[in-house]
Amino acid sequence: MNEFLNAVAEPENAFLRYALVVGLLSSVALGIVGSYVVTRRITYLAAAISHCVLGGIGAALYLQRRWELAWCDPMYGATAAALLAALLIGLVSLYARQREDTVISAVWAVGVAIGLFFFYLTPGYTDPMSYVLYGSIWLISRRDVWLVAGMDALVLLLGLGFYPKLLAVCFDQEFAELRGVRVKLHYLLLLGLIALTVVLLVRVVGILLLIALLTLPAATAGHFARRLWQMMAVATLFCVVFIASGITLSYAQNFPTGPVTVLIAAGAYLLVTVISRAWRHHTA
Amino acid sequence: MSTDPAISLRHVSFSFGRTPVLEDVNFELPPRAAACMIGPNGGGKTTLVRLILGLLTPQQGEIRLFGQLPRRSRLRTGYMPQHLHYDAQFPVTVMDIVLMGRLGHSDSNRWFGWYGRADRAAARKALQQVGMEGFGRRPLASLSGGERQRVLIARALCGDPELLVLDEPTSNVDTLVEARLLDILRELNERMTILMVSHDLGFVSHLVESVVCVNRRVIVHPTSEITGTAIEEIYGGSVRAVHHHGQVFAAEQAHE
Repeated sequence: MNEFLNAVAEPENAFLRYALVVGLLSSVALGIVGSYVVTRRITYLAAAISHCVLGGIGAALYLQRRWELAWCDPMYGATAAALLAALLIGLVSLYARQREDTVISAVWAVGVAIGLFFFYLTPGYTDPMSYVLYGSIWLISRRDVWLVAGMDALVLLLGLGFYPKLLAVCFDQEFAELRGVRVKLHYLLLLGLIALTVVLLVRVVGILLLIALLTLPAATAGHFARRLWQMMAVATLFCVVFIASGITLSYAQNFPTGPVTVLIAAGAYLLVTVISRAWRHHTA
Repeated sequence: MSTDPAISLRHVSFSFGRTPVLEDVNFELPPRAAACMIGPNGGGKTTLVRLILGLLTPQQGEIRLFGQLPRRSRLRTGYMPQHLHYDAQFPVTVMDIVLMGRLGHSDSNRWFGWYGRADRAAARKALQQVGMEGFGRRPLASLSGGERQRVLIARALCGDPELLVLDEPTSNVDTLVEARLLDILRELNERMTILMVSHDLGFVSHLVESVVCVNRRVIVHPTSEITGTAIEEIYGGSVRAVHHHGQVFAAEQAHE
């Protein structure tokens, strides 16, 4: 542990500090948005949005490499794709009369297919997949940190600013509508927040695993919280612990960061759930 | 106070696809009246409530609340649903739920931001009105059926409604709580119009002046006229009226 802290303090180890800062910043967004996702029971939609990000990254890389559009950062492609997917999936889940899940699965797969196709078209990009799928927290630059900080601030502002309405929409949509809340608009806002959080997380754990960090800390926090905002606070705390220990372990042991972080989160969830069951059984 | 009727329906018809649910419904409820809606399951009670709340739009006819379209008078209406379709683990306290009744109402919470002091004061007052003061911090999951029912009434009251719509307020409630609810509703009726759905005519006959009988068509009876034969007509023979200590209950018979 001390060794790790010393390493963090080393001037040449900027990548380690960036990794930690981005991990901690995304914890805040994860705690807030993850709690909404878990209580509103839309983890499936969140997973679909996260996979569509691959399409955006592929398209942006293609434009950047093939057509030499230097400004076309994969991060922008990811953001655009995530927001577009959120809107599409949101409209499907609001208006589809039947087989909503079929359409959403299709959107999910088409997003991935578009990404894979663009990777194929992009010249000289040999191993594009692993960074995107499993995360690349060691490759974060100073510019990325600012981008992540900006998005994090946006998620924080919207996620907490609309808290009363989002809570009402998650808890009892019909009643919220009767109170004059524009339910569909707020639902789409929530999906937009999920999209932004997904983009933050692509760097940390990658597309394949990020749904775990969006749901497990919030689900674990659910055992300790009586109110939604408490769940958000506790989930943020859990995220900080999980991500920081994931980074520490992977630095020390040369493990892959994403999988280690997710395994820690899953272990904690299992442990807390079992203990809480046993406790309730004991007191009941 | 406006002189428009609290609720007015004129020649309202509604169908789901080709299945007619309500046909040519006409009735009016003056301000500060109390009425009870009865009828067999599948007879259109829920649809009628949803039409009055503006959650559904009739294919024919017009519905007005206080002279306005239901959608436009939502903030003057308080609604208590029969059930909450919530997740038992949802992290909310009684206070969180009651505060939802303030949405769209308060000055501090127009479109952005949290509930203000006035909202919390209104929520505490509403809880007090239903005899639930001191329950604010309790998680929803820890409440009994009757307590939950009262929390939902408090949520409906929290926005200072002029019309209160209650869907089966006495389901899952024991007789002691029922008496308590009756007192609360009688007191509220001095200030607001009350429309409730109930099977329990014994409960409502002390409170309401008229009974709205819903079975595709709608007939309104003054409570005093409600007799066994009237109920049998409404329920189409699938129900027998039970006279019990001078009160009339509509008991549903199983279709076998």
